[in-house]
Amino acid sequence: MDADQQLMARVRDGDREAFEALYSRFGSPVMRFLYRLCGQRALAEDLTQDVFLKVWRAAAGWQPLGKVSTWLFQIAKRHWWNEAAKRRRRASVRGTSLEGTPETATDADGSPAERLARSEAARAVEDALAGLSPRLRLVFVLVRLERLAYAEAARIAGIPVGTVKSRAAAAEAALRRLLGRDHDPRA
Amino acid sequence: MSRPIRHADLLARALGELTGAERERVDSALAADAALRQEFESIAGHLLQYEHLPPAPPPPPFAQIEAALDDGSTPDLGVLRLQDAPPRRRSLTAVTALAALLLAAVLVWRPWDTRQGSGELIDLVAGRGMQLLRAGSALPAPAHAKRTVQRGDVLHCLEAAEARLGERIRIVLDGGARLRIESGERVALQEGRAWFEVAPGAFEVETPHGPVRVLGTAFEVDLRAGGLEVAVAHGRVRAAAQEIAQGEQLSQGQVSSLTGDAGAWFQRPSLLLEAGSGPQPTLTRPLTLRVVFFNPGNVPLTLPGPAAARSPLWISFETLAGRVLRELPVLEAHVTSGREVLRAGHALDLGPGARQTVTLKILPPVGSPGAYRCRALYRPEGQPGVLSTPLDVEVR
Repeated sequence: MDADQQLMARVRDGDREAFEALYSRFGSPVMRFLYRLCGQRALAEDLTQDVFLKVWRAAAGWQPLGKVSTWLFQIAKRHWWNEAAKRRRRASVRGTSLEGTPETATDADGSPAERLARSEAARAVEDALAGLSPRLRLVFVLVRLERLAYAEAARIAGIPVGTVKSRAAAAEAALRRLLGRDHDPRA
Repeated sequence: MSRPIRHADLLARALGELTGAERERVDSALAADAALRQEFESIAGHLLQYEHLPPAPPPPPFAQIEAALDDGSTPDLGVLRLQDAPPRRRSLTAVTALAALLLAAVLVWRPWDTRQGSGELIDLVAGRGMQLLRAGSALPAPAHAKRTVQRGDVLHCLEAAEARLGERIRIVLDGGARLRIESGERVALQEGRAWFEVAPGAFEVETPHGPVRVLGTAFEVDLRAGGLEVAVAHGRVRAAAQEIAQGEQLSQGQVSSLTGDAGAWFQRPSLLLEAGSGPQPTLTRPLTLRVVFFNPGNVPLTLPGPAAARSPLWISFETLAGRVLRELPVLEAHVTSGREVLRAGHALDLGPGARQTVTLKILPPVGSPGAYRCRALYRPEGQPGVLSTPLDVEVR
């Protein structure tokens, strides 16, 4: 077992300290993943908390069959997917959605002009990301933003590697259109 | 004729996903085709835009997670599906929900289950060799079948077998053991030895001496010697005995026993068995094991080594169901510091709370590859024996 699996094995045994160590190791990647998927800080925090509570409960059934990060991302993806579906169903009543308007985080570094340029560019990219369908966004976040290999992205998304490739290309083409870049004639 | 280069190929190249022949094929095409090269540069330039994304905010503090754990607001996990499931349409969801409700109602009602009586029903998957007794009479053997049991039902094992109680509890019973089901969270061991693995949550094993409450996950309760012995492999348990006022909290690797007339917990070294860092064992390549001796008490212990070629330390090989295949004596082992201690005439001194690890190599005494369960037994002459926590090993 690698170090992450050993840590997870301790969590499986009910070790709270190991659970805290697991959270400090994977809390940020899971939060980042969920934040990129939903684009809203408060919601991403709630989802991250839910995911780790689920991890604690599901730990008893964990087996060292693969990377711990893959398992955590699978749970995070599943939770986001289910919550997105629930909120879509409620959206017609309340007007809320997991694909709501993304927030742009402030960046204190650089001059005001640089910050403004970065902020505008970031908003454009985040708006474009929010315009993708959930399927394309998931693959794009896994492959492009989390920089995972196609094979691992496929395991997390629960789809074949070939589908990851085609969705990554489709997401890229859609983002190019949304960001006003040249239309890809081959897409 | 080779497949033409597509947009997905260029994107994969820009993301660094291509290797070997695939990358060479795309690079050759790029070198030969200016339009393709322009498209690739456009993709690569486009990818740079995502560098503008600000860092994600930090996750919530762990204290918030911990507080949610402690207040019991843990959400249901549901079924962790690893397939890509698109969000369902509302009409389908409503139909599915209705069907699920009907199915749940039928499952709870169980019109086909004529054994239904009063009391809580608990799902049980019993292994071969188990007999289910109700009001003293044997019901048809439930081998390999999922069924429900009632409060008061007794599992009687004719030979070592494994059962699952509900979703959380795995039980391995020795041959001759009797276990009464009280609820999904409580059983009573009436005879013999049982090994429990419990997912987080409440669980209690009642014994004739008192209850053993789970604070962790994996432990053994043994009534065979006339007293009560509890061994903890993972997590913690609290054992209480009516013979003495003071309970005993045991942590990983600890063993405590209460003999029938001692009126006190008898302290012995506990043994924890760990796989060493040696190569994968095979039928012809030895298995490296570490036996951790631990003195959980507050008095020093002296553990005698072999005398006249008789070893107090044995390694037992069992099937995963607990059937002992072979027990082998260990005539020589090494402490982690390198000094040999388990030779004739030597002894291992363990101060209160001290821990000593010995390493040994042993050829798996089994006839075929597979998964086996090992235990270490330390039984010097004239002293009660002690059994280690089990260790599952894969022999190739």
